[in-house]
Amino acid sequence: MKLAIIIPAYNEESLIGQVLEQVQSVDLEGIEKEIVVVDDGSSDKTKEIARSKGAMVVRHIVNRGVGGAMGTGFEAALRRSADVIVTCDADGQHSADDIGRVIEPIRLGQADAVLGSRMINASGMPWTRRMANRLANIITLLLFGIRTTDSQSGLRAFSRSAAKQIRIRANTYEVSSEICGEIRRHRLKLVEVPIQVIYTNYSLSKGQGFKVGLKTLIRLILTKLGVHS
Amino acid sequence: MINDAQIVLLSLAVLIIGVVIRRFRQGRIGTLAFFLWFLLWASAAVVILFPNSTVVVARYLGIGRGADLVLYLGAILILYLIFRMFVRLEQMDRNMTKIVRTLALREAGLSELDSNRTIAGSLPAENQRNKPISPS
Repeated sequence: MKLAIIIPAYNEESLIGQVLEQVQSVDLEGIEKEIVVVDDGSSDKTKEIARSKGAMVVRHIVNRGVGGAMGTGFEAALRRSADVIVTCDADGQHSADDIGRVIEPIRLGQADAVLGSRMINASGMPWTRRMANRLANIITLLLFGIRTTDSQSGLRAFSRSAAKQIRIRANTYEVSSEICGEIRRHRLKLVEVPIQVIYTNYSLSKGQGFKVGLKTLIRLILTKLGVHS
Repeated sequence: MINDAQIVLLSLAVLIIGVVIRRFRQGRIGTLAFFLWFLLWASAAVVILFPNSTVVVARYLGIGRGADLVLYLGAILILYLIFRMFVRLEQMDRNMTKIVRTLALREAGLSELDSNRTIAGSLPAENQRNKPISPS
């Protein structure tokens, strides 16, 4: 069984090496692991560091946003004939040990898609983040008709057939809700697994602030209205 | 009867109509766009020549003054054009992502032509016909 771990990264040189080391060191029995870093047009050493840690690097020549990078990662993983695909944030907020937990329901054939939920056990999450995530869940429910406990989670897992069906059109942060929408549209079997979240000043600075969140909402509504190519 | 402001505005309208006709002849705008733009500026010319003509329409719609009607219509038109531009930008954004993605995958040695997987709508035979651009 081949597992591809997609890590979209934009100017993450300070942490990507550490994140990749942690992900590399995770021991998953009977699974061939490949890390695909999508370097989203970084101007720093993200690409070089990722290569030196043994990851496959797919590089955007200009920055397209996390959604664009995610779409490229999915395509790359499918073309590398991955059986299971995991997405993971590059900012170090996920614990690498949780990768094994999100792929488990797919290995057992219990799910087509798995969301690693930071909200099931939300202790340690700043309350502003908790509120923002709740709001995002409500918006995702209203727009896409799917109820999740953590629609904006970056740690997810998909079976190959699920990944093939999911179409990512979003360029930026609205990709998280869009993926939830795609899970619903294709009636994929979804399982949520509680995961840890490691908040540092660094990972907090990389997330969505209020202004970006508002832009994400507008884009989501446009996506919903069918305004796309 | 005709004052200076009318002469300036009218020549402006005529100039723009000229540009619209030229663009249409060059094939740079479609028939529908041509008609709409032509209609818009032709009616602007009529309004400039006979300012009182707007009053009739305005009264019919329950708006007091003709000038107000023109302003309202202008505001609606501008909002519509901004919306269209917004949508167009979003489309361009997505198209750009497609281009960047294709280039990125090709650079990583994962282009369609190298793999067995075919995307929906394209047959393997077609793929073989489209030779990759060889770097010179």
